[in-house]
Amino acid sequence: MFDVLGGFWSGLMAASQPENLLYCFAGALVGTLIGVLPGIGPVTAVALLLPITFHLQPLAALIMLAGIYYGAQYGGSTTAILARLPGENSSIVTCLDGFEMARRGRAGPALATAALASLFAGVFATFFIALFAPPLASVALMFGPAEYFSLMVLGLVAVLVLASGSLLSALGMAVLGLFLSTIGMDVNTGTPRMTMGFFELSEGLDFVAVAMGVYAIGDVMSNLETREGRAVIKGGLGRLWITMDDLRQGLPAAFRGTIIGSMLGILPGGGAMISSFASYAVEKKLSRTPEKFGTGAIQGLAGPEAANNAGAQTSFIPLLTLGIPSNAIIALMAGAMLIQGIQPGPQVMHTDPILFWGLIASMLIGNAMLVVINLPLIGVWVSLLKVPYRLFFPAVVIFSCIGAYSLTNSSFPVYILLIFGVLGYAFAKWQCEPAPLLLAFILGPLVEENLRRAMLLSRGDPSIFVTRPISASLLAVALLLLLAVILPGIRKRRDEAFREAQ
Amino acid sequence: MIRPRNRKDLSFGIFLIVVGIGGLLAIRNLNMGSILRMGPGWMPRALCFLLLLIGAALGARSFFMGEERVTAVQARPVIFTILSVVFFALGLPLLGLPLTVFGTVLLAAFGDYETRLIEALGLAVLLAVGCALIFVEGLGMTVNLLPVGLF
Repeated sequence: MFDVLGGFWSGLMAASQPENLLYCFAGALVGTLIGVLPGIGPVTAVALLLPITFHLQPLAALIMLAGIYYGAQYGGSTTAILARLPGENSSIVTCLDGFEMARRGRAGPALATAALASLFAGVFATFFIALFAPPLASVALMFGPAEYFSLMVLGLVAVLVLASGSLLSALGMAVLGLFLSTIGMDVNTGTPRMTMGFFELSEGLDFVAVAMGVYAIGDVMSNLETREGRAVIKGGLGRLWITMDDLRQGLPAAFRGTIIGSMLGILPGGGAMISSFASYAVEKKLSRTPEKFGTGAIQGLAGPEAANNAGAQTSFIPLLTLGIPSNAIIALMAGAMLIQGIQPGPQVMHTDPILFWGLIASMLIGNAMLVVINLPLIGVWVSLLKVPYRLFFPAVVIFSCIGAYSLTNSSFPVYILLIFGVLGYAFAKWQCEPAPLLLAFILGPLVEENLRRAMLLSRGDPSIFVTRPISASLLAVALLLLLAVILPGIRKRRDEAFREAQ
Repeated sequence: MIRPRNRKDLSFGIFLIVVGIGGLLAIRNLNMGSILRMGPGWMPRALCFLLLLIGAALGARSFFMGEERVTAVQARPVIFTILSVVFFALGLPLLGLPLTVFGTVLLAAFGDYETRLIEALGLAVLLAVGCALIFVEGLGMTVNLLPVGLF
């Protein structure tokens, strides 16, 4: 216990260094901006900023990227409430009751509720991480290659299950990601694999170029196909504060949302979006007046807003304790760590405690900054809402190009960017979510390595994965998840949830 | 002949099969090894087989599913975006940063149906100057500011 307190305190000290405070603020600001502007999400923003993190200290880089992720949860609610447009996937639910509140002249209280619920969740989740991450990391240190392999299989299956689109397509994306990760030099023998004579490929496809291609360029191409129509709520916002009534009704919902988000965030595949959906469903079920949902029920706003923030933060836990990214954006963070030469995994807590605790503690600081950025400065964001897409997407294109170029100071990664941009566009057409591909791409080398080691240990006997208890249980959970999705009843509900979101 | 009704899944399935076959061809000279002692080609080959399997399953399934077509590919956004990135890749070593940014942004902007020339030009100039300041002056990126051959 004192270990935790001591660690957290030193993390707080590290996170309060001027440099880290600056990058925390930058991340929070960029995150809010990204959240407010529809057409660009936190994944794209993090992908675009990855090349820059190379020049930063590891802690500063991670603090900034993390700030973008949970900052976008704050910003996304603003667009959702004021323009019925989800700035971020997790704000889709906020559009339902948040916008209705705004329509009835209660935009101010809606915005305040969203921000305060998010703050509550953010603080709670920070302490949640501080308490649960260390024991989890200690357990993970006992894992052998078979357990790691099964854990990664579980992580990939979880992302598959939660990906939109058909399960088979998502599986195809995951296998594709694994396949792409094998391009390059084989670590064990030094033989080049599928490099087709390009020496630039001997290190493999650059993850940053791939991520930026699929998310930034691919997104741009897809978004350009639809013409925009954005109608912002007219009239004043009203006072940016909440009444006692609001507090009485909203606080329990926020509390429940926080718990839901914290739990769902930890699961591989979890994160902000799934938490917000789950919270909305729970609030509607628990309410004595479910018919009010969709007309401005404050529980329908406070719960999901708390959940998405808690989910975003706790989704760092699998990365920090097990080294397994649980969703696309955390996968990008893993990429950022790799850029800095840090291998994500349970050992990070011991070999680099300042990084571990500093990141966790920074979330506290970040959330405080975000409330300030979101409430008093709301006018700035409202005016930004009116900027048309055609004025900022070229910036996305040029930043991606420059970012790709800066990876090797040559045009080669720019071509990779282009190829994956076209692929990203194709994936959108095929209705395949890119997250499984990216996660599989990051985990690919580890999957291969652990499989190889497990086979060496067991002398070629594949039953090792089911004879060792931890490995067997992990695989069993993965199987359960798959069955749960394939079985008709749950499959229908899953499809419904995605359809409602569109 | 039964026509495929789910075009979307069919085309994705074909894509996966093509990638799988391409992969198998690319690794044909690698040592495969056995499951106990995996050679460099073992994992790629296993994954290619999986790709072929999944692609075939998607393709086969597409004949039995409900009608689902891919939304039409619109030429303008795709072409201009591709052109703008290609311009950047070819142009940067030759033209230096500001000019390349200008061209890239201009080309990209025309991918949007609602773009107006004045806006696009203004944006291009703004970003050209901005990028030069941020990336070369601010972050110290090593790239020419002026076209090769001048001075």
